[in-house]
Amino acid sequence: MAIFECAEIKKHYGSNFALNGFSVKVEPGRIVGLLGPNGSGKTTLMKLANGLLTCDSGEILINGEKPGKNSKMIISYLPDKNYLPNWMNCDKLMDFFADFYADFDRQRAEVMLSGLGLDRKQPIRQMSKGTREKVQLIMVMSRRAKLYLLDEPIGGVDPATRDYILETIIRNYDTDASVIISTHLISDVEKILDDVIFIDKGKNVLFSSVDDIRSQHNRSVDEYFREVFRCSGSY
Amino acid sequence: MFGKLLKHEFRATGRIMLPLLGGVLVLSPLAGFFSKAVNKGMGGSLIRFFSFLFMFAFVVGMVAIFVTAVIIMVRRFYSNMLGDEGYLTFTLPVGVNSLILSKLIVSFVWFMGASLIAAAAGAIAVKTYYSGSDFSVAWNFIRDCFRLVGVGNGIALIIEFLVMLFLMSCAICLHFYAAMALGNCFANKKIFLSVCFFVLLSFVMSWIQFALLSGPGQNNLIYSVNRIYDIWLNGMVNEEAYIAIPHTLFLSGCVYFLIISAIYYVPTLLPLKKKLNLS
Amino acid sequence: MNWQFDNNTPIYTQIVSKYRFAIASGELKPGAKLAAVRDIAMEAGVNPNTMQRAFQELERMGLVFTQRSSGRFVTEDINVIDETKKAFAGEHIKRFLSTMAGLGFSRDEIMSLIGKTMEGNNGNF
Repeated sequence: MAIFECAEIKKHYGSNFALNGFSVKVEPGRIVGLLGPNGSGKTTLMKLANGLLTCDSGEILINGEKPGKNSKMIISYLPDKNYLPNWMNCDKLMDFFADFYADFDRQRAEVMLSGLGLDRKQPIRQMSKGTREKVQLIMVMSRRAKLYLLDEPIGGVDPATRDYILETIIRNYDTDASVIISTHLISDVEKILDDVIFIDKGKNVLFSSVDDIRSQHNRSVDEYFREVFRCSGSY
Repeated sequence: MFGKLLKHEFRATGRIMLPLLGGVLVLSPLAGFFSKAVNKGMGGSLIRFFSFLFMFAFVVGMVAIFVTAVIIMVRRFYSNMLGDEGYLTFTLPVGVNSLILSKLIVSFVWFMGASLIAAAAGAIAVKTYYSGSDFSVAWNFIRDCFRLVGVGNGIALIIEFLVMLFLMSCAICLHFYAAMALGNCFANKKIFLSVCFFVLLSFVMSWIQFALLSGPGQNNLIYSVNRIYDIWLNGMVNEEAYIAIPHTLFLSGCVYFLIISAIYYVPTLLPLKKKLNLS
Repeated sequence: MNWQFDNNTPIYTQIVSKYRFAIASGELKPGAKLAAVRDIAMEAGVNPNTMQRAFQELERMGLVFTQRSSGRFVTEDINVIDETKKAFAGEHIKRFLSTMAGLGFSRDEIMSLIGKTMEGNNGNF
């Protein structure tokens, strides 16, 4: 059964259609890139999958179920925001995740956090931006979830941190789980992707494996993306 | 899972409330002691200075614990549900009802806690000041009350009273929550609109309360209360009749605040479930 | 193993090439045990699925084999390794000759150039 399935989803804000008949089917065990220009609907799609928004029409299914308590138990979400409580430190954060998520692997988190060399009593509000992003990622990837949704996990950080983040993603996802990464920084990320979704103006314009794109078009996904989106004049 | 929600609500709010409550408790004997010292003419201006300092801090503290309890209740809801933290809160595998209920319970606990600490601190300050003060008058009064109504009734009345207080606290909190949830539905000027909704809800509620309490003919609560009282009285012996009064009062108070809370609950729940508008 | 990849061809084909060369050259000895897919993927910075696909291809080519519960090993079949070495050589020679032809050299000129270059390096190359 597909881990993530969308059937003609529509979602509008006022007169603007963020998602306009979006459909896709993602199987378990794949790392998928969700690639598209600003305003193409990437973040809206992730919010819908998480039950933070409801669709106007169409259906979204996670492991065959509509977004709800059960789907939240198996989705691990990293939003493009500072969403963790400022006053908590790493220990308290781990207590929190361990309490609410049965699939939280505390030991994994401990190992990764110790790799960062952090003062465990330091509250989040005192951390630098890069450190904070790493901590947020560690919490999300320490869950043995079935679907990881990462919204722009490597934007706004230095290249070394980007490598760390990509490494953490590969190291920690379970092979029967899927990861959906939405990003602008395609060339950094494409070597870890299995498949890519090109999303434009709320529609799925391409769903293909990275290998197929490279062998059919003899260029990187990054270059192919530029080609596809240059013609459509989305920039 | 609900227990975990409560645990973390307490952790998040307790880190501010507990030190404050503790501080007031610590200040109370100090305020009493130094005031007594001044009164007895001990020491010079230094003692007078400390006496003023501690008394000032104590009074400020007594007010602060109540004000802070309210502010924390509002801020917690706003930042945890409607701010960026909402991304964490609403992706937890818990229902929205549980989230709201856990906050209502914890807010009530802090309101009660503030009241109890205020009473205790006041008693300590007084006891330190008048070291001979005897609280046995108070204890005797309480004991006499119990003897009068019977232990069973006494306990039932206390429970009814606490439930009524809880429901009253819920009504107050939900008034704020509904205003914030409604204000958050809009893209701009969320805080301004929340304040507007607060006022609007007060206005609407005062109409409803008016209708509930004193509507025409038989359609009002006071009439119903009187009827219940009469029915209860029928077939009761004289002394027992008096018991009916506080029971009826508290129980109808419970019903009243339950209705008010339910009315505020709807505009709190619906925006959060349907139109959640995080940033 | 050098884990530099270019982005214009599928990564798994590039991994297959790297391993083919390592085995043909003897860098990876016959019968050598290979680390787990996940660990190599980590080291290379690639998706484990991609690494897995590469190994499946290498198995199909007969260059590695899996022994249940023991893991993956380089083949011990010297013939296969030899064939691979020759195949590599063949590919490179074809490319070399094609470039030289493009430059306009004749067959004799090519042989003489090769001889001179090797001599110039005292027989080393």
